[in-house]
Amino acid sequence: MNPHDDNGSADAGLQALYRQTGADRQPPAQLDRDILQAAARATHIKAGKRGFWQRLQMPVSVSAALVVTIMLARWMPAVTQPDLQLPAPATPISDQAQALDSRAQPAAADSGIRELEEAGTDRLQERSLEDNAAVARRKAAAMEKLASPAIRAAKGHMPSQPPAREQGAAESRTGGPAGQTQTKATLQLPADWLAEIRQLATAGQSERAARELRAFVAAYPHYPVEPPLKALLETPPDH
Amino acid sequence: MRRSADTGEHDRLHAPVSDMNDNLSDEALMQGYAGGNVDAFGCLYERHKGGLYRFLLRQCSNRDVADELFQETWHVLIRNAASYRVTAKFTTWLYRIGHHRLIDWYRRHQRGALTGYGDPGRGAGIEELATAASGQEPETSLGNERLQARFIRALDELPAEQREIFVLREETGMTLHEIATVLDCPPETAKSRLRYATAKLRARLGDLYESA
Repeated sequence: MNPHDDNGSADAGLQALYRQTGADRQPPAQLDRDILQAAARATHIKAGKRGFWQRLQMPVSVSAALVVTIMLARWMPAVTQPDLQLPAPATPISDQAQALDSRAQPAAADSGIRELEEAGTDRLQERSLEDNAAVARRKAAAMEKLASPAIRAAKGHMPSQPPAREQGAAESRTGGPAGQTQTKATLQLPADWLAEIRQLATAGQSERAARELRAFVAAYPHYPVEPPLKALLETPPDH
Repeated sequence: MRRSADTGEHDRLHAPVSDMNDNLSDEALMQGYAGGNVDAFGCLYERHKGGLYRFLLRQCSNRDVADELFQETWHVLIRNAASYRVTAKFTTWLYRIGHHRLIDWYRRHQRGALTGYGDPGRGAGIEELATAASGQEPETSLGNERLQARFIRALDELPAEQREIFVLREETGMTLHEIATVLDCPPETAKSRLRYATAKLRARLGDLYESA
């Protein structure tokens, strides 16, 4: 249909007649009021009506925050127990640093010869090796600082002087010198240790279990221990 | 110059809401109402209440029924305001709702599709519509009344589909494409119906409308 056809049927005479026949008729005023009131009401209802998520937003947020807090409270003590130790490397870190140093020294010597021969062309390689050695030394120092005294003792870098708590725990568990039992004391997780104590108790070795439990409690005073095991602490210590 | 621009901006920002609405399109007003602006609805209602009311009144020829259909049409619009999207002209949407209300009403009352314009026993019939065109001198009033009555009778005798298109065209000034959208029919059909309606009215009122 072309746009000219659109107006083709217009008839001015008919239009004029149509306009004369009640063209000013309007709906009753009461109807106007009703409809406008309904429109206003609908707007208020819409404004007051909150969506599903909007209604549940606050309680869900509060519940989620509560759950997260409870979970953190439950799990944090287990995580913060200072028992997890790094396993000792196959070769001591300081040895690795020395090895790197020893590798760097021949390299430095070689580069010096080459420097003489080739008028100092390979300075970069030498510098990088020296840098590697320095980085390794720094790492070793940092790791030594971080490593527990028990590991250091096990590696023989310093005399065995564990903290009083660990030493007491180790001695009370094994009855022997701290140096011999350090590995067990420090590499065992508290949960495993408790399981072991539980096994001893169920196996009827209550004295040993009580001894172990005392050592455990001394080492981990804040770790939760179930009441049946706690009852073992009532038994008098074996002298 | 700058000052006058600032003043204009100030006036625009501090103009009453109704003044601002007057300059907006129907579609913008409808979106405003969907966003909670009741004044926008008021403006929209003022613009279209007369045309829609007369469209419905001329189709059912009964003031009570026209009131009922008119109210239903606006209530449907209010209910669906939140889902309104500007995909077509607002008037197309409004009259489409009105058209469907009419069809529903005719179905409910088992009167067949859009039949019977004149119904003197049901309120506003030919006479009422004719006397609505008041304000004339007593002498000319009689002649005009007769003329209007003839016109309304001729309109009444048109098939409902043709009458509906003619009235829609006169009340809204819609294009045939828009009328076709309102009535759910092809544009060619709308065009031929309008042509038939005009031809029939001319044939019946030929001696009158030329003098109007």
